Amino acid sequence: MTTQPPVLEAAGLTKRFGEAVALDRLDLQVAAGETVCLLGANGAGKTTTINLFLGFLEPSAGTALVDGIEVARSPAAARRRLGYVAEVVALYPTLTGAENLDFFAQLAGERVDPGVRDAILARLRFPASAIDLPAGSYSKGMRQKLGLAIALMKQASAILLDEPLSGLDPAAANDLVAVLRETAAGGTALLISTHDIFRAKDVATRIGIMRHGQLLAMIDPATLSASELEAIYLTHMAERTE
Amino acid sequence: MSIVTAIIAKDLRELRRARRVFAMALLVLALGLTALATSYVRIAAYESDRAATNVADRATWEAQGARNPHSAAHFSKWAFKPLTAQAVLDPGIAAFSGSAVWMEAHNRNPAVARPIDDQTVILPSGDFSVAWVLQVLMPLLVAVIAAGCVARERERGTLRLMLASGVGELGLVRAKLASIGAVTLLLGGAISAIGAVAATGAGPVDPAQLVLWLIAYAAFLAIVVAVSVAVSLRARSSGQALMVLAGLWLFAIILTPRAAVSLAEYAAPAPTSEKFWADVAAAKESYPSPFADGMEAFGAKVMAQYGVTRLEDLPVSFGGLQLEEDERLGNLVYDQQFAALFAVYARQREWLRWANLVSPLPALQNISMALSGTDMPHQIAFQQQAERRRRALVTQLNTDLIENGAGADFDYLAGPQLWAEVKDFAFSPPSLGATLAQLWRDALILLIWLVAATLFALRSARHLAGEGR
Repeated sequence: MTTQPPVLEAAGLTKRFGEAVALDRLDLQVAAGETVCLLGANGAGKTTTINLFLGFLEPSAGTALVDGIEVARSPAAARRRLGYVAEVVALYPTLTGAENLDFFAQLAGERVDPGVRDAILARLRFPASAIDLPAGSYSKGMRQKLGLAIALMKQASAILLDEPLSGLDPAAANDLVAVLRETAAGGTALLISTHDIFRAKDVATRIGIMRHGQLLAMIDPATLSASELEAIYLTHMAERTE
Repeated sequence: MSIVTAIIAKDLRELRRARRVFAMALLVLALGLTALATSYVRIAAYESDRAATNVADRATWEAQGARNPHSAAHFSKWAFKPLTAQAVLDPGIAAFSGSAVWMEAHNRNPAVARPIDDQTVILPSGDFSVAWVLQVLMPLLVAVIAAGCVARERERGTLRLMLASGVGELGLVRAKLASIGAVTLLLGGAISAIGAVAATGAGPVDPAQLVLWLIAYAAFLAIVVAVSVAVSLRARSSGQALMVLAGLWLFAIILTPRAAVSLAEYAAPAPTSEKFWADVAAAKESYPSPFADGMEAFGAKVMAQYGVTRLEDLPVSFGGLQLEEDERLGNLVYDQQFAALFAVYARQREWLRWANLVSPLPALQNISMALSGTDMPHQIAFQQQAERRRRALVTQLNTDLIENGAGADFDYLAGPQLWAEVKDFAFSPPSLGATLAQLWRDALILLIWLVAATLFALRSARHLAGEGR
């Protein structure tokens, strides 16, 4: 457990949809500089957790805090401290990459500094020649990189990433992971939802195993070998098919 | 750059690059300009014809030579209704209502010479105008543009990213209202501004009247914007939003005004022209005419008034006095019959107001036509002023006969001097104050719609809260 004050904190966080319990009394803290990966099958509660931190869902019970701000009470204030990267980054297809970036930076109240923008894109190995092309022409890897660039330009306290590496080619995934490591090292808290246990081991300081809305275990990936992690992954996948 | 400004700039950029919407906007603009040009040409031609006909009517009147004044009163003159410069913007009922009244002795004639009769059947002029573009086409264009303003963001996931950026729900709604409002202002403003310039070029325009006309349209289009954004906020997809908005457009813009007219005609039926004039004729037959069964009593009254015992001894023309008395009695009938007819029109307008419960368009149409001088009250004012002029003209001619035709009566001939003394008809449109006095309810209705539509849009912000479901 970290000794840093938490940037993200869930206390007894619960979400029900009718009879179905999507998230069950989640207690979780993510401190500045930490990277926590939530690992689990579809329906395990990973995305629900992210949506609750973003204020896109009202909790049925418990609280989600961002920098001490209760999300349910002040969702806009909490979101201003968060970056968000979706599984498929949504962009305006007729706007160029630069225009998309500038627009979301303006929404976050950031002054657009082309120097900072270019530096972030260079870190992500985003092709410089593509930034002035319509985003509708981008590959998935380019979209994810641009999505992360949007989150990074916001200089948020924490970034929430929902399956950010899903469907990416290895080179693009490596570029993203490298930048995520640098970002965490810079003091940003990262909360990542993923199916990919090997990438999770690469990037996470802690891995939470989720199933049926419950956080079953919190693992330090440094204490496990790759094969042990693979065993956990296979067990997890097997449970999904039960 | 503020969040609202950033969203407006982004939306405008997207719209500019969405060629279909851009093309549609250009089409509406082109239609607006075409409507303006055709209205301008039509009104210029009408006014040119009216001026030429006035001159010809005056020349014919003055060239009639020696004639009995009563014969001249039957020959008589015409009252022509001028079209206001604002009719370039909204021709209202002008094309369908008579523009000329024959100011004849004994008879209050109906207004004839409807401009629609001179046009081809291809396109009714009353439908194709700047007002029609702003009332009918602009709401459709706004609906097409606004349908996706939030719903498409929701569909493609950018709404989540926008909200995740820290934009509050209410802030987003305000930004979208401003964004769609800016596009509407740009297009509607362009059409209105060119229209205002054209109207000013067509003749004298009361700036206050023009500004109020523009404010009324701004309020109407703001209502359309607010309702459209609210629907987009509530819809699951842009397709669903477009379907709902298209349905609302059909109902509120196309169907309601027409249904309201039918309802008003059903609830307060106006007599047919045939029945009305038959009633007038019957009423005129019912009073004792100084030329027939009332002649004896009238003659006795006149002789007593002048202190003579024989009509031949009167120092004035008895025939002239008979004519003037006949006019007086006939006018009482006209006053009664037309008051009843105009009361029916007023009741119909009251019934039309009920349509405002489901559409703000009838209120706007009333305001637009009234401020353009092309509504029914303006037409009634024309007919009433033409009638007053007719009565003054006939009285002037009868008076000449009475004073100068003693003994000669209908053999008395007046000359060019009398014809020159007769004034032409000049229409004085109702003042702005009088027009506004009859519009306050329509203005209030628009205001209530605007407040309700804005609240509806702002309350729809809560539909943004469930983005994670």
